[in-house]
Amino acid sequence: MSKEKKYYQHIRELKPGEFVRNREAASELKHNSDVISLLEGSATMHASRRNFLKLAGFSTVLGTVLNSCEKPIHKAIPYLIKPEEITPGKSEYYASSYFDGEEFCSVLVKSRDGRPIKIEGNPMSSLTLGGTSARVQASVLSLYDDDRYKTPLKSGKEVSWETADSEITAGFKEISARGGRIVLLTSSIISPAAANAINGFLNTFPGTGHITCDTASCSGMLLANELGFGIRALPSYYFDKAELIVSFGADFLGTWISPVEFTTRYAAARKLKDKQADISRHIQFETGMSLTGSNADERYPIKPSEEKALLAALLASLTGTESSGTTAASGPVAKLSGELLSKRGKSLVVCGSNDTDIQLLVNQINYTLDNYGNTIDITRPVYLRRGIDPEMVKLVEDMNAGTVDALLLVNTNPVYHYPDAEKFISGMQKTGLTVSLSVAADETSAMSSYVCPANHYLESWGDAEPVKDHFGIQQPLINPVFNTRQWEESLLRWSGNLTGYKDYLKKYWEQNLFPRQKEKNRFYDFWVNTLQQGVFDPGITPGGHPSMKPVVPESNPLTSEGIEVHLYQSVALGTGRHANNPWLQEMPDPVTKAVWENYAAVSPKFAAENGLEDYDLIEINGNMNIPVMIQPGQAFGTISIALGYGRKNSGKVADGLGVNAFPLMHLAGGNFQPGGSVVTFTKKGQKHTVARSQIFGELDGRPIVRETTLEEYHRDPAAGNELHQEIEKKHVSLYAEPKYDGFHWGLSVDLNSCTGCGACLIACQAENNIPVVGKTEVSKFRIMHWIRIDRYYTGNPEQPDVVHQPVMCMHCDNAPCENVCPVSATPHNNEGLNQVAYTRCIGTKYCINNCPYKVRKFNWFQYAQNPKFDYHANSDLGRLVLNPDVTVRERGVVEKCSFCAQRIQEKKLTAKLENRVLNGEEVQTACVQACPAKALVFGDLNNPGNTVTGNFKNERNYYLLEELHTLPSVGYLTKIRNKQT
Amino acid sequence: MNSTKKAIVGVFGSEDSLMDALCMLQAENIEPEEIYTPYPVHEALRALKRRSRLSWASWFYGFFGGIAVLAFLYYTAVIDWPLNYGGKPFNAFPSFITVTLVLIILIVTIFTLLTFSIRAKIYPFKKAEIIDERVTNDKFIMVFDAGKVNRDQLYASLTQAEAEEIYEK
Amino acid sequence: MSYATEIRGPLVLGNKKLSQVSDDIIAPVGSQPGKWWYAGMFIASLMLVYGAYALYMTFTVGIGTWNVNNSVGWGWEIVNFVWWIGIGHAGTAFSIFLLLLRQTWRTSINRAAEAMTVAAVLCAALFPLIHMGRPWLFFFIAPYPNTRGPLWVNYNSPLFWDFIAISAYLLISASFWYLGMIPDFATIRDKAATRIKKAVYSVLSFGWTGSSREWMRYESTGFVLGGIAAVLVVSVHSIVSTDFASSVIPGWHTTLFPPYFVVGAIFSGFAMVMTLMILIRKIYHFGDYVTDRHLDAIARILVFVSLIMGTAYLTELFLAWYSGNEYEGFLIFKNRVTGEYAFQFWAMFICNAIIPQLFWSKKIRSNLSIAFVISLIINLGMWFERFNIVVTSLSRSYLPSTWVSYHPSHIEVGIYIGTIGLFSAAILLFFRYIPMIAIHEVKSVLKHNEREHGMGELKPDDQ
Repeated sequence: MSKEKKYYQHIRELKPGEFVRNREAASELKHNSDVISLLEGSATMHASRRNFLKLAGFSTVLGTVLNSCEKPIHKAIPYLIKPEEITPGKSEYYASSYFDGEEFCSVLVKSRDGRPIKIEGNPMSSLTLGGTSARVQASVLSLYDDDRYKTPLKSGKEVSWETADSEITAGFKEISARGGRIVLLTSSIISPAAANAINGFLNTFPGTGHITCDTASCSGMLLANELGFGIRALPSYYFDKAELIVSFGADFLGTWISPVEFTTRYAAARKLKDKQADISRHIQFETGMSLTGSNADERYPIKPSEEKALLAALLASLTGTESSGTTAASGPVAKLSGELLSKRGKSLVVCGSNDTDIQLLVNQINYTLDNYGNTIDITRPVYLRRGIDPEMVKLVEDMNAGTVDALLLVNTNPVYHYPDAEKFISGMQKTGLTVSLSVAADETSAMSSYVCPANHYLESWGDAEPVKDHFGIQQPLINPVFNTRQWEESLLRWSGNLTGYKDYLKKYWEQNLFPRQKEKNRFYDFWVNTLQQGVFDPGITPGGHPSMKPVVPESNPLTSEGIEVHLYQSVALGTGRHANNPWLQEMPDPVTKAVWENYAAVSPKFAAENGLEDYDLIEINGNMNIPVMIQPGQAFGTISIALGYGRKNSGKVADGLGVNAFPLMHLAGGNFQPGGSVVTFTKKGQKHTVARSQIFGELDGRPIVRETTLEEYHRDPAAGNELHQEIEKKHVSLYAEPKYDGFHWGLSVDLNSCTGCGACLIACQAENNIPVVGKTEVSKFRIMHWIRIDRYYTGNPEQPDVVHQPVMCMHCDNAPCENVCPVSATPHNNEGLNQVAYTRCIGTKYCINNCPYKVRKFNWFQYAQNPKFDYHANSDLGRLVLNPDVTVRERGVVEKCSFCAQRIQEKKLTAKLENRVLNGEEVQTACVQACPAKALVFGDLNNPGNTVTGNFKNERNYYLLEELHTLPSVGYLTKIRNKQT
Repeated sequence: MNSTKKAIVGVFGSEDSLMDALCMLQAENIEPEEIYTPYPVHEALRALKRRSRLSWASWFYGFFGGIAVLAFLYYTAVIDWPLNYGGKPFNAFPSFITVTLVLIILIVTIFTLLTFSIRAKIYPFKKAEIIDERVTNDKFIMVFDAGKVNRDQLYASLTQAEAEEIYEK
Repeated sequence: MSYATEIRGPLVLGNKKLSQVSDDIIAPVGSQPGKWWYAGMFIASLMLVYGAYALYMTFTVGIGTWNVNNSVGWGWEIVNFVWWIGIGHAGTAFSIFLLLLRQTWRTSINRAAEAMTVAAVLCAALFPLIHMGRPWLFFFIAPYPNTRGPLWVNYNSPLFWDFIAISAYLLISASFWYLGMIPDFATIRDKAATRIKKAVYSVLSFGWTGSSREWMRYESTGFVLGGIAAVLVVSVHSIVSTDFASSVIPGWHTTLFPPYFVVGAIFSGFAMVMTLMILIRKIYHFGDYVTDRHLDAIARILVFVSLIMGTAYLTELFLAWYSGNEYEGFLIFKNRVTGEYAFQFWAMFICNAIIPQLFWSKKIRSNLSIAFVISLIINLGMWFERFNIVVTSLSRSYLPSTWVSYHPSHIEVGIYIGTIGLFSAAILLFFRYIPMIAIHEVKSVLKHNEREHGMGELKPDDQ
């Protein structure tokens, strides 16, 4: 409870440019303490007669209330003095930017009564176009993570900021005085202001170096581009302009560089609406089945070691020189080169490898195909990755040599992710002063002498330049929840600059960015405008594309016979920096549908030959125990393992889940290679079951997912969907067709656009207070997500086609679930919504059984405030993320997708206040809003103007299990594969 | 019958002897007040012209019960608080049939039992007016109102009808 | 009536006098039972304790302690519910059908059968209550005037029909059973030696005297109740079957269910009656009342019903193929006949359709120990049948992504064992405190023995 007091005083609404009024906070605090001490039933209160009576009276009332209604009482403590910008019960949206060191996204943050509760995409952004990813959606929960550092620490002990600052500064002074070396180790910095602050720091302490270390390193590409173009940066990729996309192990829809941006562009080129006759064609060569690979039109499993030879061969056949070295997959190469040449300047070849030579080959290929300036633009460099592995290796050498005297770590965790962690640790021990400025607890900060905890991004000021000449602003939504300080400000302090970082930022923008625009002539207007929009595009300075210095490495095709390991980032956890986020831990992997841990994916053939079955425990290199998962489409002779697991010191949620696979990386060409290390394994004989939200993945010829090829589609737009016409013909009903005279809400899912990334899933979880249930419950098939993404395989298990199908409540007009509820807890409303009255539900589960889509979920336990489910919903802090518009369901009731009824209601009220008719398309459910591919469309089926209405009339449209005549309000558009026959 | 009244009791050992006696007495137009038997003797009931109208009562219970139930269902489902379940019309009559049927049965049972208990005066904590304890075991007895019959004639006839014993109470 | 007895010979052997009948049947009532009784009661109580623990967990922690999940929403609890209800059918079916058909041979069995019914329905009624997520709100299911509108209930829901049907059935069968006992209580009262016993049974006997007026109304009440309860016997299990038949889930959605369920119920019920009667006969030496002929009759009924069951199973298979519905076809052939739940399917088929056929042979019919075993096997088979219907259908419904396996948790098993304990305890108490055979009915039958066969012992003839 005492904790809670703290939170309440902290969560004070914060508008740009004004800090909380202490008087108010104080009064609030006093107010709380009274109520709380009463609620405590309080040992702290001295037992005076007056207090006794007070307590007695209060507890009587409380008792009566508690007994009279089953809902647990939640304390709502009102403002004594209302801040004018807050209307209780009304949400406000603030533009900001998300950057976690890897992924950038321009966002709108929904704030309610002073606490941010939901992240949405910012439609104003020319980069992410309002899309988000699962990690962006989940980031709001990390703000309320109880395992974050709450105060500065000196070797584990709590210290005040003053002491920390003085001691650290003294340390730096001393070191630089004796010409010692200070190293600032950060993840990629895309914030111009922060970079400026860093420079300030470097200048104050001469002999200080700044080294960037990326967990998901692209140093191979950076170096290759430097060699080729003299620009050490990543180029911009325009997947929307490419008609033929060839990816060699780049999971650009899931985890590679800027997945949200790429997905929006990729999906745009795959849409078949508004008479767009053609869609781009996507060919993927990769080892493990990645999200991107699962969306490819053609996919070839290859061993990591084959990549180079393959690219060399491709380049050779493109340039006409005869191919050198033939590999398993070199068959398609000839065909591929033909296709590529026919698509000169309209094709795009990308590669996820971190090997400079390989990237040189790729650049060479794109250059030969005139893709530079068309689908690739090096003149708009991307700054999301800046880490150069050799520098990092060098640093570790130096540290061990003892030539580094002080190490500052910003948002990086080498003790966990540096492949040779022992070496780094020993280096750290040799380094005198180590200061970690990380936000949450991690392995490295646990070993540093000082921890100066930084703010969560929702508590921080900042800016971002993910791409040259595209700026994003970052503004705090809330006062720091704990006694933390954003790291930029710490650097400023230590370099003797006492201006608050907000002022510093404003000053920087006034000097550097304000001049770059004409619209606003007062900086204040410019600033406020930018804060409102969240983005600033000064406009690109057009310039011709630089020519490439052809550097072709001698291609030495090495194809090993050994078992090769392939390390990938899981779509949910990435490199593991968000491991302590229960939402992400319980997000089913888009492909395997596994949760809560990683595993070793092997191909069915490989498994059969080595006598492996699902969940068999194997030991890799004699030191890593991991369960096997048989993965269709996995390259033979390879093992794929997800990074980001096996955290040791990240908090109660993540610690000890899965194994840390970073040590399996190997150094090649100076860079750390996630793929290609040759390993040995032995079968342990034990089993370790991995919980999965979906176990069976075969369609058995059921018309659940309907697809066709592009040619077929051109011949007949209704191709693959013949069944729909047939059923429509037989369409008869005993009763009159349901008619809805106001709104009739509907949702359309374009299977061709949906990549299965799972952003919708987490958005729904955040919006609708969906509980996290943990591994054992998931393995009992009790996962609670209201929207799930079914994944099916078709064809040869070694090289299967994959489909992702989002399934949420269909809101059937003839709903089977409604008829069977004895207590009328789930009737149909006059807008076509299938409702659930939680208070009325007695939990017979009959509706769950009778739902053909099985979208109804049951609260098997009390999930909130239950020590058995010790995730965020179990602490007062964690529950601050709950959406007050949605009930937290109690034990024993059924719940399901409500089409975000609360959002519909909100928009209706807005329209009513503005005294106009609501256009159905104004309503965006959480999933629709989050979708980066715009695969989901929500709207009013009675409004002919709404896209959803058009989609429902589209020849491609069909309903799931329509033969049951449940009349769903969710339609699916057939999947079109651009296969060449 | 209250015990203040004098009663003459004729005890018989078997249903047959009882029946014979009954026929004989009725020939002499002597009507017994009541006959007590260990199990229902249908001949005797017939001879005494005992008829029950209980089944008629039950029929009416069922008839009006059914109407009441249907009315209730219609009122609650259509008039008072109509709700849309899976696009079915508010008056989902076929669904009503089942409920109505079962409830009719329930109503009939309950009311029939009540009627029985009222008419036959069989209800909890009722003090039984026992004439002769053996009737529930193996004896068949006739009871006559001493006030109504000619005592000597009755004695004669009972002896003639081989009553095992005759006594007054 | 007379014709029935003529073919079958005497219904009660051993040339009984009326008084003997009363003495024989009353003898066990209230008297010190043998060791076996205490042993049985001890075991039953152990089962009850396990059940109580399981219920405690269920109520305090939640039905999450079971292994049912978001695809298989119903598991053992509903399997057991249907199973018990089925057993609960015998009593009423027995007494009522045979009563209406004037089958006097029922007289020495129906009391036990009805007692069994009441116990079984009690066990069954437990499950719908506890399988709810929030059992403390069970009263929501009753259409009572309330302050929520008033919000009534959904008359389309088979669960509501269930609620009505089961409660009506429990009430009616109980009262029918009690009504039958009133004259017998009176008999006990009048023969009682101790004061307490007399007091107790005079209360129980509702002041019965045995006057012709009472008998007259008693009989007509009996017939009225019998007549309408007969409808109930058919309706209750048909309604239970609509829980499945009216759904859209393959394997549930079939019009075959109502008759199939009713017959199945009678099947399991009669099997249980047989089990019970064999016990009573053995323990209390009631051979004269529960004659070989009685058991023989039950066995004949069983063999006939078993044929119907077999036909029903085959019909299900045939329709699954003939309908051409891929979902149903897959379910029946890939998940039941073969596949994960093949064992349960074949156990059902063999126990219910094959093994009872042994009853064709007179030797086996008359061999009580074999008959006893078979009667148990039949009830096992009927349990598997319900498992097949409830679980296998849900575990493989329309969308493969929602397929999942279901195995019970020890809590679910515990609840089942608990109900078995409850049932046995109830039966044991019945043995001890209630006349196991309807005394007055037997007496009325006795007379016919005398009428048509004189007083001598008769040779039974089975043609």
